Amino acid sequence: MNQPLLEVKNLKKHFNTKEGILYAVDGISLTVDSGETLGLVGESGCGKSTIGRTILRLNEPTAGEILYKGNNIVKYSKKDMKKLRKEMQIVFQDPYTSLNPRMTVQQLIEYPLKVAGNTNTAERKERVREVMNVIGLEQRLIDSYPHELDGGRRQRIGIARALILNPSFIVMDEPVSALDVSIQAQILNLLIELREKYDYAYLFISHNLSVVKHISDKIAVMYLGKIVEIANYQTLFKNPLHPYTKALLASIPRAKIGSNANRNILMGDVPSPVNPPKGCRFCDRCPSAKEICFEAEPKLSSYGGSLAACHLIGIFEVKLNE
Amino acid sequence: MESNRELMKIKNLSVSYKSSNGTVHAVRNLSLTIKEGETFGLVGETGAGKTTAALSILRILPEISTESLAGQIIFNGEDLLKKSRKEMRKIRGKDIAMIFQDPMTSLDPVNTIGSQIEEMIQLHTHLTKKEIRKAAEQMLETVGIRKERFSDYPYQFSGGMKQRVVIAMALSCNPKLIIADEPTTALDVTIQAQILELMRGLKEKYKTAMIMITHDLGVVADICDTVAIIYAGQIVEYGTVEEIFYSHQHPYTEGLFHSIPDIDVAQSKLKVIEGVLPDPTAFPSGCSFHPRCPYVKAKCSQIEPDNRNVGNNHFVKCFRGTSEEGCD
Amino acid sequence: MADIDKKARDKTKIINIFGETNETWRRLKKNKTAVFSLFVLIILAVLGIFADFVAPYSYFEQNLHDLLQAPSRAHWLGTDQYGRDILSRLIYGTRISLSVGLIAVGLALFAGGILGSVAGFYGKRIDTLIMRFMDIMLSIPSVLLALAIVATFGTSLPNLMLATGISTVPGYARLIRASILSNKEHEYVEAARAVGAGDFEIITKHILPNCLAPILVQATFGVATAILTVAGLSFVGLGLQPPIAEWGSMLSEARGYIRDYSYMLISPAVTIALTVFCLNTLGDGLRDALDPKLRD
Repeated sequence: MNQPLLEVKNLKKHFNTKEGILYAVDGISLTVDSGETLGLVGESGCGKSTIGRTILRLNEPTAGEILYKGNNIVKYSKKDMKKLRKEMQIVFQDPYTSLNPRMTVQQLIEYPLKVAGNTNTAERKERVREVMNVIGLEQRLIDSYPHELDGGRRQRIGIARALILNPSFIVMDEPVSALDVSIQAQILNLLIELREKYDYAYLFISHNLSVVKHISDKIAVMYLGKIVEIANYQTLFKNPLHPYTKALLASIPRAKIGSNANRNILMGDVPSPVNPPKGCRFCDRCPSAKEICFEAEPKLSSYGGSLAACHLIGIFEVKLNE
Repeated sequence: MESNRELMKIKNLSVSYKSSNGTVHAVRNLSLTIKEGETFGLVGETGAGKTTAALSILRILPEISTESLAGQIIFNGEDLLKKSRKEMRKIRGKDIAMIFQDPMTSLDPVNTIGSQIEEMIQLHTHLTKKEIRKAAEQMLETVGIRKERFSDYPYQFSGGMKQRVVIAMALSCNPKLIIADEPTTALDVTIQAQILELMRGLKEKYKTAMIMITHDLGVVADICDTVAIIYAGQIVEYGTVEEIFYSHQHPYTEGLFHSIPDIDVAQSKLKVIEGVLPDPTAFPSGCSFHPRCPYVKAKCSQIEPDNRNVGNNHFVKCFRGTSEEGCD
Repeated sequence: MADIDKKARDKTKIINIFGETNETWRRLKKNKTAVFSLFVLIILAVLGIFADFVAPYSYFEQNLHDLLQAPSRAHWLGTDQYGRDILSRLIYGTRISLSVGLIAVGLALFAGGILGSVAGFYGKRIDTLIMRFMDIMLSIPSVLLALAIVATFGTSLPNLMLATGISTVPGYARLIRASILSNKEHEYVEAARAVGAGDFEIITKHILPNCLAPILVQATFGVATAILTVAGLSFVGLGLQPPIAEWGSMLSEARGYIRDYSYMLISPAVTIALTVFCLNTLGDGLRDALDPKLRD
């Protein structure tokens, strides 16, 4: 099956705010194959969280197409979307606010089954126990409330809830960012295990490049509502093409002494998506910006196996050949 | 290196809180020494007690729920825990300043940033209004904010800029010690790099000692000279940054390093620390880490290990590798 | 951004304190006045429910030999101008007051709840429409409205309930709308949507249960207000007609006997005051017990 599981074409999501139109997602195209993990990385304001929700139509897209198994789901009715929800799920970032505090673990995990129309209480309970086993949540906690559990366990509930309907595609919106480092590692391992067992496709959204690298096959870097680079997870780190990708990689403090001195720190502030610069979105912070960068928006073009949107990549390549 | 004079010595600090589930022993018998000009990293996860320890230094623990506060914090030859409120007020901001985690909430939204810096200076010095204004403007420039923005309000600044203002306030009276509680955690990674670079530069310039509270080992490698790893309210390992990074010995420290996906190394399964953080109202017997330790022996659940000196001023609170190790 | 431990803990407290009845009860218990009030109210309710068994006499039986008797062993609170036992009339009156109070509040809560939910959840035009209509209702003085309703439709019990309740509808609508607005952005609501839950399900199962706290407090105060309103209406003769025992009408009837038979006035007055006091104190106590910021 050569068709990608999910294909997003020129997706846009704009919000109307007091200060003007907020271009949260402004023309994103990407694909995710069955069983593949696409990492989505970027800083605040880049639109990565919005895109996760828009793909699942938790926000209505302003423009563009979302093709799931070849069908454009942007036009789907509520009924059709409900059916689709069995296949496309989401795990939220904050394990403290994404669980209804008045529901027990049992009720939280079985909820998708109930909404889907399963009225057999015993059957649901059985399914919940199954999933809890897979997720590594102790059976004795089945009647506990979220506030009685720690962050790691809560996040497991969130994951269990996403898995119970056997989806094919899961959006992970910063699933480990709110967890302690040692718990993060446990959850990451769990996500990888599940993927190997059940062949899930993940859209893994995070601001933490190290975490994203650990779990993704492909990584897309976002800046101010646009994708600036997509590459294989190893290639992105060995051979970053876009100046923003390079700056991001340089900013990460390494847990190694001495490697943090003399880095090329990116200057300036993360801009607001309300008034994006004309031309390339990155032009006002880019250390290598030329005149063309301020005037024309670069398109995502192919360089070897990677895609990048930058006017200057060709120029550098020419320079190398001289 | 900087002078070897001791600036602050914390001896057997213990802090506990009342809570609905019982007494929370947030800090237990914590001891450490900070030298002048040194950047001391305090590393731990949630609930380890690092923020509580920091707040106790400045005596700004919440009074209602603090049940007990014991030990000594010797600063400039005097025990801070014995000082009166009035005396502490003179010390806060002038000798010891604090940078809190969330820049969004640590600035007063109804006053201009310039006036907030001025307020800090005015509280602790006897300069004239003109002199104060000039000093405040200079502070702004030092942290990389144009002095034209003196009369702007906090909402007009981004998170990174706000944190710069907070740093300016902390430095304005040239304190001997700055306590920074996760100052970059709430910021984007490129802004974090900027702020860390700024802090490194200021550290060089003003020779201020700093306690850097963080959970990020990358930040520690970037800016700290000495490191203490906190777990369950106790320091489990302590040493120079080279010792901790290259020859750490405590199983928890080892686990922390393994939990971080290394960006320069290929993908593989992370070696995790099993289990969860301990219940602060009921710590495990003996060594608090023993239920999660991959090297646990019978002795570990019975007796609490001492702080062992493994050379080079490197201390580890663990039986491993010693003759006392266990039932072998 | 990555580390939200403290913020998360605070958020947890805010969300969970409304979901934890045990915790709320524990905190309420600390407030001695509130517990005492609750106790008194429970006693009153029990007396009212079992009035037929508890009251020493009937509320309408006239005993012309024992007119205007001061409190004595036979009649603990004395008798009124028709020889009816005041204590018994008070006990039966409890039924009226508490039931009108509860039902009026219940109806207002139901109506206000629906209006507020729809306004808060769907927003935009329908929100404006509903809230402006509520504003119009608020501009009519409540006492006048109550009087008008009773004067037009008669003084039956249902009409009384309508009259006392109707002017409180906008208050509840606003309250519920505000709760919905603040709760509908919570991630667990989004999570329910992500699973395909419909609007009704989301409002009733996810948002409203987590808004209970302010509603509970307001409702408690509402019962107190309703009791006062009914008493007031009865006092001016627009409440339930004699011989039905109602605290307000007892007060009204006592007016002519204040000088020599003041006990006729004191008993219903104290009862009304005590009940309202207890409801208000309970409401205050509930508000404190439910307030996340006062948590230790």
